[in-house]
Amino acid sequence: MRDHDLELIAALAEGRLEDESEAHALIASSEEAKAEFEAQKLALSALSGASPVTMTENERSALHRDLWTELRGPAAGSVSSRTNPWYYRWMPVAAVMFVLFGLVAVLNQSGGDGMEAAQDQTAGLSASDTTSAMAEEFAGDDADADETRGETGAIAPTSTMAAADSGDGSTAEPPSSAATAFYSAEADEIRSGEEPVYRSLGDFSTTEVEECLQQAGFDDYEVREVNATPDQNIENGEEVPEEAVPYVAATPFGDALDSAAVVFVALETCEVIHVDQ
Amino acid sequence: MTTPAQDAELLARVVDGDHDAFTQMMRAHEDRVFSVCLRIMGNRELALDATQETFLTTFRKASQFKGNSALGTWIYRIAVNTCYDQLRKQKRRKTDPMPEHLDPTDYSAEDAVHAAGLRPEIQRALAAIPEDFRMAVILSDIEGMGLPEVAEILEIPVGTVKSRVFRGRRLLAGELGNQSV
Repeated sequence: MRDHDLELIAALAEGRLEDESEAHALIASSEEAKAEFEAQKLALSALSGASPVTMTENERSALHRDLWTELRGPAAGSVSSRTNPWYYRWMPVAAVMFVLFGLVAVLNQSGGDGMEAAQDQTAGLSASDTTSAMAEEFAGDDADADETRGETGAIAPTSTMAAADSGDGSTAEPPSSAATAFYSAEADEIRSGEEPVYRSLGDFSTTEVEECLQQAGFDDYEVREVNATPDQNIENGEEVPEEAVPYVAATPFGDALDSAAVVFVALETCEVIHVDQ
Repeated sequence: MTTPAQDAELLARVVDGDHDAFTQMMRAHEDRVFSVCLRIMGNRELALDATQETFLTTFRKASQFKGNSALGTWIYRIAVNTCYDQLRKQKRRKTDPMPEHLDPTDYSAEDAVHAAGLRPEIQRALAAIPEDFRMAVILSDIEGMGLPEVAEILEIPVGTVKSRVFRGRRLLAGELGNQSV
């Protein structure tokens, strides 16, 4: 049925047509149109019985009390301190431990004369330098994966390609395990659904979303989910990792959804942030 | 009904930490937010949680309101997203049984459904249709919002809203028909 016909039938069911003759003619001419009209009428009639709802005074008091308790609490006004998972607090400690273990390993390997040289080298290497070097190494691996895709036309067979090269050669940060888990869970949810989910387009238009996907090299992919406000998920109490950015998720056209690869592309940079196989 | 200028002024006061302004904003929108959440969640307790979360988010994001839409529309968008998130979390848990209040043999639960403003069979049919269609039908046909406002809240084109509302009604009628068989 054409959109115009459906709209006409719905308008008739809603009783907002001044001239109903065209709609009645349509219904009289087609069984499908008649069934559609009856369905629209049935649904509208069922929903019209909905009575308005308001909070009871107890519920209202509880809402205000709990809200102000939350807002005046120690985390008031500080989104990150309230919403970050507990293990985020230990990440700096883990980073320092990592550097120390690395230092010990280097010293053990070097031994004798080499030890002094190793000490000189490591003394000048801060924790952030170390993690940057790791990030570069990681991004390098993914650049290789991206090249593989370019040659074969297929996605590199990795489930954690979270730092692929964008077209201009810039790279995203390496993924945390929390980010990988988050995107994998999103991918599973997409695979279990049937309809595309435009959760929130935010300031992005549908055209921008599709262009971004093309820019990332996924022309033959179908948009499955757009989430321009993952930070709201944090606000809403979900354990969304801090590095979650507005993204579009897509699957290859024609692939069975329940087993399709799901690519996640950042909407702001059009970089691939994750591929879930 | 407030003007955009009044909305902006109120928000500016909220950003400045004026608690009275925030209370004023809450009072103006809390019943509608609760109503939307209750229709979506189908449970008063969950709806109250979602309402609280909505206003927490509103408070924390007040400085990010750009004024591109009415303040109410922005708040209802946050409410819908909050409910989406809560429903997704519920789905992920998988262990949650079908809400008890949907069991018509449970009379205390039935009261809760009536408190949600819908007959049990309608609430059950509504719960059975896909989330996106349900949201559009709830906002349009139960809350009585215009299609442009629903489009702004759901951040989708008006044409898509129409399609979701019409298809949602068709699915709802199908569910109601199945129940009566």
